[in-house]
Amino acid sequence: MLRLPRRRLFTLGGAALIGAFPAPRIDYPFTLGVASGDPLPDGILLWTRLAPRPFEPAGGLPPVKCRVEWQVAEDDAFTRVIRSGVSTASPAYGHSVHVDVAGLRPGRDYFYRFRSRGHVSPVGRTRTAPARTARPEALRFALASCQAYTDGYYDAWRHLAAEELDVVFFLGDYIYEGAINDVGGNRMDSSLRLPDTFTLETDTLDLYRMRYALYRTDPDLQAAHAAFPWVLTWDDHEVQDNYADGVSRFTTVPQKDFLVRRANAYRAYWENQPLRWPRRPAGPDMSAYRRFRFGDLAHAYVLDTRQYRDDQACGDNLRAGCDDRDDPDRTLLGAGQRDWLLDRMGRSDARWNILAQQIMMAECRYGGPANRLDMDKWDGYPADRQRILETAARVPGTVVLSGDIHNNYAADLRADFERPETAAVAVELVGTSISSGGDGSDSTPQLEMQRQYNPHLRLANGQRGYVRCELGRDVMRADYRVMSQVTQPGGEISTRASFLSERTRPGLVTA
Amino acid sequence: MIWAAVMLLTIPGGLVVDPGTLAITTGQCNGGDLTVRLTNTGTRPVYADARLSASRALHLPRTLISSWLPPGYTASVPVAVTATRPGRYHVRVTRNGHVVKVPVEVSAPPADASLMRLATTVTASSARAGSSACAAIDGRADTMWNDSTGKRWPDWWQLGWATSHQVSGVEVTTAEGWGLRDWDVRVAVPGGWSTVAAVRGNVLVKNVVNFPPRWTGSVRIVTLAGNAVNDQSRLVEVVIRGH
Repeated sequence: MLRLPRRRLFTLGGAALIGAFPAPRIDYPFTLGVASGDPLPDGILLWTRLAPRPFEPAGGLPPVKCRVEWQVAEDDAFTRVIRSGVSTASPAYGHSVHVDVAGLRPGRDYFYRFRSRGHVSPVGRTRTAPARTARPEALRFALASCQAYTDGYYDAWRHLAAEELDVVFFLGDYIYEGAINDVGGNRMDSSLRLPDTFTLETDTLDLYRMRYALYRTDPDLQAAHAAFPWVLTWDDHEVQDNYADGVSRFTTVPQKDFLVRRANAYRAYWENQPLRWPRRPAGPDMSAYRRFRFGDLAHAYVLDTRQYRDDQACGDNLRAGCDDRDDPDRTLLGAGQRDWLLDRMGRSDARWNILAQQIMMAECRYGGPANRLDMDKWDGYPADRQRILETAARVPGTVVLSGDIHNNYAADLRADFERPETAAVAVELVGTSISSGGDGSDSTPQLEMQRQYNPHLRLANGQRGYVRCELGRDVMRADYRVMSQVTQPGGEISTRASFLSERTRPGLVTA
Repeated sequence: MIWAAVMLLTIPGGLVVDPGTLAITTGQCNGGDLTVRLTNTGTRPVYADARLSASRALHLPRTLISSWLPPGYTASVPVAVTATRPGRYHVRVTRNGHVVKVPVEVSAPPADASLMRLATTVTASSARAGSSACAAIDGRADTMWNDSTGKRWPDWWQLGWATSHQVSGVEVTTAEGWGLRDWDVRVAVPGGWSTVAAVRGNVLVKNVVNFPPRWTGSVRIVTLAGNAVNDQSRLVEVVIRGH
């Protein structure tokens, strides 16, 4: 997190800059904070969105364009501004601002801010990726996911903002589509007074935009965005629970109608995240899979397991004896993305290869007489999983990052999960949720059962939090950071478990 | 195909609102739905906006509808209209300068209406999308109020009137199998609530409790536990007996 209090920076910046501009004609518009993302060695994507009244449609702004200035500096006092420019917040894009800053130096911290109509935004800190030829000693990152606003407070983000990180991987379920009452569900925040627009399930563009606005008003989430660059991918709730490509969760919804909803959701997603202009969706399609390089140390492959997947086998949910899942033609990634990934992984010259994606890749048997598998996870798509793990067996240093399931798991990935005596080919860090599921608990009978039936699981934990990770040249360390509570503000963080894994001999051992 | 294109061009401004007039009664759960239909009459995809406004006596849960529309596609969006006082009002919907004004005739519930129909406010501790507090008094067996705080108890559902009424019993219809097990019935009293009935260990779909008649402005059902997975509060229908 920025060590100099943001408020002070904001005040200094405002005092220095406001004098040259006319009096504000709109209320303070930076209520949703600032963000940066998708770091490159020479550039970063800066984001903000103007919303003077964030709980109103269109953020309380009229349908007119707004001029927004931006600055990038080497110091948090902005005495060494090295890039600046002007952008436009257009109503066509929900008054969002996406600035693709180039010409920066690799592996460096930078500070940024925006100004519009005489108002100055909070200051964000970001960091470029190392040069492609660099040999970094370490990459420090966190993985996080699943932040249902109604399920609790975001103190985990406040704690994450205080970590020392190079980048944050967010693995999906940034918003949830369901109804939110006037007190924010389990937050029971009587000061919130949300309008009943939020009781409508999101399906149109205006409602998705308002939902992002609500989430982004949270100060802890804003602090985490302002502290580090993020690399994001989505899961299902950014559109609808458990959708698959063009198939709605509800079989009665025609595909043509669902694709309109998906188009609205994807558009709002792009508008509200630090993603580059070429990634903006075309109707119901948006390319979200991409690669990032961190010198020779790591390549990160960001995947999309929702947009191209075949419909869940055997009617979705937990199933046993579902032969359809074994169909070799079934795909989770879609042929294009899968071939792209296998090709890049297979040719990678990085020491580590990170797969930043949504759902649990390790086989996860639910135990008991039924011993079911979850058809929504990689267990429902074993053909694609097998191809990736066979590639990982040839490529040292594969680390899979996952979210979705609101539990912490640490797993050794094997080419054949039925043979626990064989060597692991990769490791998987499944991060729990930031808030989804409420306070949770260290363990449950279900988690104990999963540990018993899945010997490749090194950890199963049901608390909230995130995973902090450091990739060294030869060893990876993962710390599972868990929250004491989330349904009341003020939750504390602690490290529940730590693991190490060697690059050339993958396998999680307790640190 | 040509016929379809001609049909599209006959939709003024690509905007239709159904029905052309709306008749409702006052009360939070006595409103009606308008359906706003936005059509892309062109040959390229568009993002369309429709803006809604209404007289102050009416309430709309939204004032904007924005959606991507592929060519020839019509998005149909329901908008609930409720009213606080009788009269003749309008809902106004605009798109690209084209305006549709829908007259809304608002009357008071008849004097002999049920206590549910006479309710002015119906609220709950939380609600899932599509399972609002009003779903518990809509007379339909296929809808219910469903709280959104899974496995967290208690929850509550509440009905209130503009004036006091005498109440003497509450009939609860809950879900089969996953229904409510334990709940209290409370009535509003000066400065708080008074519990007038307590149900424990219920396994019935329909449960009736009677109590000595009480005058009150509100009745609250505090739900304490459910059967089966004990996850959520489910009220399919509530009938408050009295006058």
